[in-house]
Order: sequence, then structure tokens, then C-alpha cells
Amino acid sequence: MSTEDTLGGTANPRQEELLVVGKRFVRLDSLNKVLGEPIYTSDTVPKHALHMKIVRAQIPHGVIKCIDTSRALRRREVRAVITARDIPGINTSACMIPDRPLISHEKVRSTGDIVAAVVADNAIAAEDAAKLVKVKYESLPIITSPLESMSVQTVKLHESGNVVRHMKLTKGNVDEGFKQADVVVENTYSTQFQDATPIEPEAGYAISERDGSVTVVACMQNPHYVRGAVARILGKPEEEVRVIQAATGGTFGTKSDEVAMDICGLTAVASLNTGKPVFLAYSREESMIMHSKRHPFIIKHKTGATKDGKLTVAAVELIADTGAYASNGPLVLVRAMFHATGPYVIPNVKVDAYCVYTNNTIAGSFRGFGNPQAHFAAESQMDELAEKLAMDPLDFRFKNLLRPGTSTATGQVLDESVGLEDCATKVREASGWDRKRKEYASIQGRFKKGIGVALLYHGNSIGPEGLDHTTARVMIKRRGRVSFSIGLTEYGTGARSGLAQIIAEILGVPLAWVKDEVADTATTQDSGGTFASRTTVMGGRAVSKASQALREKLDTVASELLGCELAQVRIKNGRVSSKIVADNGITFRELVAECQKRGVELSEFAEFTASGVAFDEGTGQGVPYLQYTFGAVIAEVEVDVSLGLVKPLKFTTAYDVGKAVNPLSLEGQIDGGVAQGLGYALMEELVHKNGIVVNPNLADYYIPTSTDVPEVQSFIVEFPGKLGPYGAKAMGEPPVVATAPALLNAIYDATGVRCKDLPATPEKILLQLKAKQDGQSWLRRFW
Amino acid sequence: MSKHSITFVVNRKKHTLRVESHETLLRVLRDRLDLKGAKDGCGTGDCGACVVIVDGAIVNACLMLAVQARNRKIETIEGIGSAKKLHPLQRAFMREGAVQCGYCTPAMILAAKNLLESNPNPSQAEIRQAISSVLCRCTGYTKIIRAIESAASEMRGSRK
Amino acid sequence: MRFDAYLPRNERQLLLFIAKRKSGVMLFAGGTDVVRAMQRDGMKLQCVVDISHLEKLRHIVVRDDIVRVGALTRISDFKNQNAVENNYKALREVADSFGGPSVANMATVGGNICAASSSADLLPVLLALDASVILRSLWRERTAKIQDFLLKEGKPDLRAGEIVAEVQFEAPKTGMFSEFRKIGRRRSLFMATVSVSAFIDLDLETTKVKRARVAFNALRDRMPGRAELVESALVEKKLERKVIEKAISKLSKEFSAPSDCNASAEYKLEAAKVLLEEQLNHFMEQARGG
Repeated sequence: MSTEDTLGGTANPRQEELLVVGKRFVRLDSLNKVLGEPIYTSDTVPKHALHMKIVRAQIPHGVIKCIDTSRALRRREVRAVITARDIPGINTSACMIPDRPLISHEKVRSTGDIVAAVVADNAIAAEDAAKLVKVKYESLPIITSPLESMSVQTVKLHESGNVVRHMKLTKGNVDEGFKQADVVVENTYSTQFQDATPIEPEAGYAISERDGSVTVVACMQNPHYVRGAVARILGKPEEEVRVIQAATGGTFGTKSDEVAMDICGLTAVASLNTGKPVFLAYSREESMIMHSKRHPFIIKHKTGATKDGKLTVAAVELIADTGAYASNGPLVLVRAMFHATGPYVIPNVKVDAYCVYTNNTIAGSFRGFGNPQAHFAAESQMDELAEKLAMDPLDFRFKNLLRPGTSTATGQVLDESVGLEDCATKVREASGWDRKRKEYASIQGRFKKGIGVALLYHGNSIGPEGLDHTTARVMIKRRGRVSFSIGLTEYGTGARSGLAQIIAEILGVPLAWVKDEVADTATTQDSGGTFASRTTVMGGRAVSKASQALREKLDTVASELLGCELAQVRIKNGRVSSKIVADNGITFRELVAECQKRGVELSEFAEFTASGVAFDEGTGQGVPYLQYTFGAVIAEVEVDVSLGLVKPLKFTTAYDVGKAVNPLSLEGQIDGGVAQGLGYALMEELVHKNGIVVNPNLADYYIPTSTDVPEVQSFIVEFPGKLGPYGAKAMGEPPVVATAPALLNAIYDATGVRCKDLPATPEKILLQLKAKQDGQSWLRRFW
Repeated sequence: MSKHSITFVVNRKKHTLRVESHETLLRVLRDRLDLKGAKDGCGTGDCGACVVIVDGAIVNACLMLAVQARNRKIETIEGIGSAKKLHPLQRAFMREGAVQCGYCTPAMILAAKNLLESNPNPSQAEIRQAISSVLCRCTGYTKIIRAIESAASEMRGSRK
Repeated sequence: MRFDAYLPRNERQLLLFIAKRKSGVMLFAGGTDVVRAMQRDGMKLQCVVDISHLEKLRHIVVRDDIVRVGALTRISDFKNQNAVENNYKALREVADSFGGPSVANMATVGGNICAASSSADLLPVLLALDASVILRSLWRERTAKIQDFLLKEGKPDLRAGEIVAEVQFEAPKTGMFSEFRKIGRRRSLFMATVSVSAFIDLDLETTKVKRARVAFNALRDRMPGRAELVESALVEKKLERKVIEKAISKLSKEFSAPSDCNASAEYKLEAAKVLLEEQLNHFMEQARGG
């Protein structure tokens, strides 16, 4: 066995029964959490830390004329008021494009802009003093919508203009495609700002040392990005900044973007300024106003098919509202663009995608990253076409879906790892689709039922969104205990525990012997960002590479001790033996002791870079993602047609996950994605009125409660891919991609009305039903 | 009247503290008694991450002033089990994969414990209703409900 | 924000304390409205009076055919309430749909009444039960009809030195039916988009409506109120389909809840009609023995 990593893509190179990978183990971090141990940021704040409170812009667009901090500074308990002037390094806190200051000093472009930060002895003093900071603005016109932003001539939100990016995808010839089509459906869809609302609001604290170095502890996704950002803000080399990720209470993207850098940067500046630890925790209101949301999209979608049900063309225009600053908008747009058609074979495709500034609060990373928006439109279109063709919606999809050897909208020819048809077949059978469609269609009266389907594909890892590189270190300590260190973080997905399972499998030890080290930039190498669902796929490759290398060292020593060939060494459950003579074995601990005696270093560092992404910048043709996760979701609903109330009854889902490293964790991701998608479809909407967020709280922003989410039945299908360890594919994000269109298609099946604007609230459904009926007689006859 | 001396019982242990009028029960539990299990998710009683049990009923600790807790019996997550002796609910949550980011977990477990004390054999609908005060963004509630059913079954069995 | 707190040991101490203070005093029971007002609306407080321990004000008793509910009764107390046989269904329905069990355990009857707004779930039920509010101060006790007590949004007719001590309504008897339902954008933890409570006192032999009261969480503007035109279209009539339809049709004339971020005025009117018809039909079926 060479040190070359051989685990990617092949299901099981050792051809041995898997003892750890694929099993439903309890996650490493569960015990602390059920005990309520103090592991989150706010639980570990140093006792005498100062408290910070930020001052936000009160208007969404204006020139800052002056900031008066004098009254706040006069307060006895106030230690400092930080403004832009106090930033020692570069006043920028932005994901991609350096268009966003950490603290605004000339202009404010949204009510999420920070204009000052008050530091005081305690939280109440900081809050009271923050109210005393007075800012004078000269108001500027407010741009509230991307369409307005694109057309207005007189208001420039940034020097570069109002359109951040315009991207195109072209395949074939759409004019020809429309000529070939017998049926064409054209619609405009729109989606809303969705807030991730992780239950833990953002928080962090900084501790400065006398030598000018700073340690920051915060909830976050990307410690090394944060370190880089803080170092730039402080004007210091990265070695002088240490960033530690605390246990993180959910994020879904918010703690990946600007807020983590903001909080860590501000507290670091303040800590150096005051010489004391400084703590900043956002209130829920601040959190919802300031962290990045899911981009609202306006999607014009025109699709055509022959009368036999073969898709010939898709022409799509995507317009994304990225708010006042770009954040990760351009990358969200890229992913949406590449997935805009849905998982189908379409010979002629044109996508025009725009990412646009407005004076709304920022949109950025949120689980799904543009794909939920793209699929909402694409899968609604598929149902509309199916109806026009008088075809069953699933039958129509079977005629067109991606299969091995077919090519995507970018001309990428797919290999064997395409489980879409399997997924669609499984959900069709398990849900009783055909029987239910007939049964539901015959229901009369006030409570109608409907069943709807949506298929999905989701390009794995970063793809076109950047360099896809990761690292990991695996170490075997005394007594055979194993630990690993990786810069990819845990925040609820369980992916890190999955890495432990891979390590345990390769080394042949019980899972309980494997521990992970805290993600701390002082001791952990940069493994790239923890997003794009890449931990299992990319992190898995790095840890498996390192583990393989360790295993080779162990096997070498073991083969000498046992007097057998290298390939005959077996290590199972911490017991080392040879395949030929099964009973003369030694313990793993003894083997490790022997290695150490011989001076064999039992620590391996590995790197892995995904390569092969290549596409034409102008047409998008080529290979944007190295592999795809596929899935199918069927939703059943009951609709009270006299009130517009939708009651989801059941979800049946199937995902081609390549290889489930931990099916229990994976099901958890599926369940959570269903709930977030349900909220997206039916109830969630962060409302801006003239740039001001109207409902930045959990009473008026509705996420699903325990009484809103129905039974979820999920199937795991495995068509191993080439990229991930044991063939694993990404599964953090896919579960949120198709829930909304499946629900909306089910609502259409039940009622005959289609909501093209999310969320599909009871009001929208009822008023559309009214519009569909004649006169006023409809209300009377609901029995 | 801005400071009050109050006595209350937390996890079967008596405490006498001098608290300020504006301090909530949540802040006193977390900052004065170092019991960090109850979380601050919103400060306005909308998310339930601060749920604790007071005199046998679940409440939002962020809405309760500390002075209101005087002479009352409070149970937090730290009191229902330990690493050496886990409560069946804690075991079930781990086993069933009901813990993801863990931020709502203490509140969920307490809400479930409170339910099972008065209703040892709840239906799924009753479970959903009993935990509806606590929002979860990670799990979609499915495995949480399964964990509660599993623990309830185990607890009924051990009563015989 | 910092403030003082006063902890009265009994009602008399409470009344003495608030009799002396003119303003800046906030009674704090469940705290569900107060803390939210502080955090979200920046309400300022000087002094809170903690009344959560006054157990003598927490009761549900029937005496002389009148149900007497102490102001510090928690909303969740209506779920386990045995004092009243055949408890008004509407009260159980309020308790079950109140914003989550933990909030229901904290929120009080008095607190909900004094909220005087369309988001106070108890109010439509109390209006439908024609409840009276007993107010006590150091000097006197007075009774006010609930509809008179709700002056305008957020402003109950609470005079200097007064507390809400009790709310009273007649005990349920055979032939009396009540229901409550609220709808919103999700199934728990929501403020009512529309809520309705209907009460009917039926002569079971003739199925004639002796008394009818219908209340909404927001009828005119954003205040809870009774739909009197609807009520008069039901009284003295037999509870049957035609009568119900005619009564519902009157609602358009008096229902004018305005649009807000939850829903439009148009939706609220349609939903109000549907919910009311639902309840009246239930009463009709129950009366028939269905």
C-alpha cells in the first residue's frame, strides 16, 4: 500500500468489512452537549472582561457628517469608544470584494453598517452608553430593489457601479431550442431574504497580551480566514494573532461571512486599546440585521419541450439582491447559474446571472448557496411543463433526468456516480406516488390533499468558487490513543466525528480511541474554509491520506514483529494480527510502544487539493464541479382551501450520498434540511421596508416549530464518487435544496394554484384561490 | 430596593444571593451560579433556549426576574444527570442522534423531562406540543421526538 | 436597563405601595409582556413590583354560579382546571394554543387583560363570555365589563392605585357552548392573524338561540371587540344553516381589522368569516347530538 491516497472514489480498497465507517456511531461532541457543559463562546468569557456594544447606522444610505462620542466617553464605566480612526491596520471586513469597511467612516449603505463600538465595564453600561453616541447623516436616496438598482442612473451605491457581477452560461443555441419546442412555459419567480437564525447569536472575545499579540475566541466556521482578517485589521503579521473556534451553536453560513471577522476584529482592536479582555455578543436583533442572509432572487425562467416530453431549451435570467455589500454574492451567483436548469439533459441553455447591490442588509452564505433559489424555479417549471404535456410530473422527469454518460448544462459528461434515477424511483415507490395522485385528485371539500416532487443536484465542494485545498494531521500518542488536528470546524453537522470514523477505520482502532483537537490557529494548519459541505469529502481525503501513511508505518513494524508479509497485517478493534496465523497477535498499544522504541514518528501531516475544475469563463462550458450529490424529495400536504393554511403531512426523500460515513448524522442533516426548506417555502421572510429590517426577532420571523414539521422518511442511496473518501459525497447542503419546490408542487396538486413568490403564505394561497374562482360563491360551498 | 437578598434551591442545593432588581433568572444562573446550560438565544422569550424548570413547570428564564425565583425550586440541565450517571433522556438524545449543534439541547431535555413527569406515555402529538416552546434549527425535531419516545419507553420499563 | 423592585408579601402591601406612587411603576407577574417591551420597544422602567408570589390571587373557583378567576391565574392553569365541570372549551383552547407551554406557565390572566391588544389571546374569550373585571385599590373595589375596560390599544381603564384582582363570568350550563380558535403563519408560537371566540346559549328543545356573543381579536382597528350585528342576527333564531349564513354575511359591515405585516385586511375578513362559521356549525352539530 503506497502513501498515495487511494481511498478517493473506490468504495473499499482493502476489500475488508468496514467496522466503523458506515455505522451509526454517537458523535464525539454529544456528551458535553447533553450535560450542558460550558463549551460555547458566551460560556467561557473571562470573568473581568469588558463588554462591547456596537452602534449601527440608523439610516440605510447616507453620508456620515459627524460622529459625536463625547457624551458616551464621559460615562464613568466607559473605557473606550472605537471608531474608524482607531483601527490600526486596514479598515476592511469583507469576504471577497474589499467593498465593506469594518467601521463605516464616510458613508453608510445599510442599517447593518457599524459606525462605532462602545467598550464598558459591563453590558448594561455599554448598552446605555451606546445610545449616547450621536451620528449626523446627510441622507441619500434609498435603493430597495435590485431592479431599481440596475436601472437607476443617478444613484451609485459603490464606485464600481450597482451591478457586482454579470455571468453567463451558454450551451447550444436557444433560438433553435425554442423552434424545436412544441410547448413552452415562461414564468417569473421571486424568493425572499431567508435568515439562518442559528439558535446561538454571534459572539466572541479577544484577549491581548503585553507583547501586542492577541488571542480571539469566537463561534465561527473558518478560523484561518478570521485570523487573516483580524491580522489585516490590526496591521500585524498573522503569527501575532491566535484564533480559537469555540463550540458553535449552529451557523448555516452566517458565521462564515463578515460577522465573525467583525466581532473578532472589533474585540481585538478594543482589547489592544484597553489592555483588557473584551467581549461582544450580538443580541438576536443585531444578529438578524447584521449577519448575511440568503439572497433574494428574481428568476425569469423560460423552458421548452417537444410533445414527446423531451426538454429542448432553457433560458434563465437570475437577479440576486446582495444588499449593501457583495459578501459571498458572486459565488452564490456562480452556483445558482451552474444549477439553474435543474438536474436534466437540455441541449440548449442560456443563463444570464446578475448580482446587484441595494441598500438592504447583506446577503451571503446560507446553506444551499444559490441552489435552493435555482431549484425553486427550475422544479416549478418542470411541473408546469408536465401539465401542459398532460404527463405525470415524475414520468416527465424520468424522461429527462441526468444519467451516467449524459451531459449537464455545462457540457460536463457525467461518470457512473449518478444515482438520480435510483433516488427518484425509490421515493416514487415509498411514497405511493401513483396511488396517492389518483386518491388525492378525487378528494372533495374544504381539505384538499396534494403530492409533489422535486429532484436536485448539488455540485460538491468549492468547484468554481476558489482553490479547493485542505490539510490534516493525525497523531498516535502513548497507549495507542489517536488524535487529529484539522482546520475544518464542527458546528453541528457531525462531520468532524465522521473524520474520526475514517481515521479509526483506516488505523483499525475503536472509535472511542480517536479524539479531535480544538480548531486553534496556533496548533492547526489551514484546511480551507468549512463551507460548501466539504468537510467529509475534502477533509476526509486529507485525514485518510495521513492515516494511510501512519498505517503503512505501523504495518511495516508489525510485519516484522509478526513475521509476515506487509499485506498480511490485520489491525481490527485495536488488535494486531497476521492473516495467516490469527492467534499470535499483539495489542495496538504494544505495537505503538514498539514503534516509539524504534524512533518511528507516529505523526503524519497530509495535504489534498482537488483538481480538474476547468471551464470557459464566457460560456460556462466545462467542468465546474468534480462530482454531484443527487436527490429526490416528495412532499405531501393538506390544504385548507378556505383559509389557505398548508399542513405538510409527510416527506419522502432519497439522496445519492456516495457513501454514508455515519448514516445517523446524515439523516440528521436531511431532517434539518427539510425543516429549513419548509420554513423557506411557507413562513420565513425577513422583511425590509425602505432598507430597515421590520422583523429582526424570533416572534415576527417565523421558523418551523416542533408542531410544524411532519414525518420525514429518508433513503440513502450510494453511488460512490471519485472525490470523497470511500466514495462519499457532500451532504450538508443538498437537503435544503429541493424541499420548497416539492412543497409548492404539492400545493399546486392540491389546489390548482401556483405560488411563484416565496414564502407561500396562507394569504397568498387564499387570494390566489379566490382569483381562480368565479364570483363570490366559492366561500359558501366549502363543505 | 435595587438589591435584594433571595434564597432559592437550584438542583436540590440551597443558595442565598444578593441580586440586583434587573437581573433575570437566566443571568443569575449563568453568571452568579456558573450554570451555563441554560442559554441566551434571544432575550425575549421567543426561542426557548433558556427554558428551565421552576416549581415543576417549564419557564423561560430570560423573562423571569431573579427576585421572582425567591423560595422556588429550580432544576437545570446540570442537575438531572452527570457523566457517570446520565439521565435516560440524555442517553437517548445521544443515541438517537438528536444532538447537532447542541444549543437547544439542555432546554429540550428539560421540557421533555417535565412532560414525562406528568405524562409517562405521551403520544407523538403530545411530545410535539410539550417541546414547542423550544426552537431548534438543526434537527428538524424528528430525532428529538424519537429520543423522547425512546427514553419514555425505557423509563416506563424501569418503573415496573 | 437598571430599575428597582418592590416585593410585596400580600395584596394589602401591594395596594399600599401603588397607592403612593403616581407613575413609573410596572406590575410584573409573568413578565412575558414587560421584558419584551423593554428589549424590543426600549420601554423604560423605574420600578417593578413583583406580584408573582401572591398566591391568594391565583385561583379558579365557582361560587353562586359564577366562575371567579384570580388575576394571577396562569394561562396554563386552564388546562388542568377541575374546578369547573365541563370547563368552557374556549378556555382550554386558549391555553393549548397560547405561545408555547413555557410562556403559558408564566403569563397571567391579569397580564393578558391589561395588554389590551389584539395579541392578547384571552380577550376574545372573555368578551364572548361577557366577563367582568374586578378592580381593587386601597379605597374601593369596582366592577367593569371587559369591553368597557379596554379603552384603546395598550390602554386598559386601570385607574390610579388599582390592580386587576379577578375576572368573573357565569358558570357554564347545559346548552351553553363556547370555542376559541386562532390562526397564524405557523402552528405554534404565533400572534393571531385572526382569532375568534363564539359563545351560544341554546334552548336545546327548540334549538333557538337565547344568547349569542361573538368576539374577534381585532374587530375595529386593532382592538378586540364583539360583532353586535352578527350577534343580533342569531338571537331568537333557530340555529340552522340559513341563519348562520345570514349572520356571517353581516360581518363585512362591522369587521375592519386593518392590514399589517401578518396579513391584509381582505384576508383577515375572509378568515374571520370562515372561522366563525366553523364554530357556529360545531355548535349546531353538538346541539343535534352530533
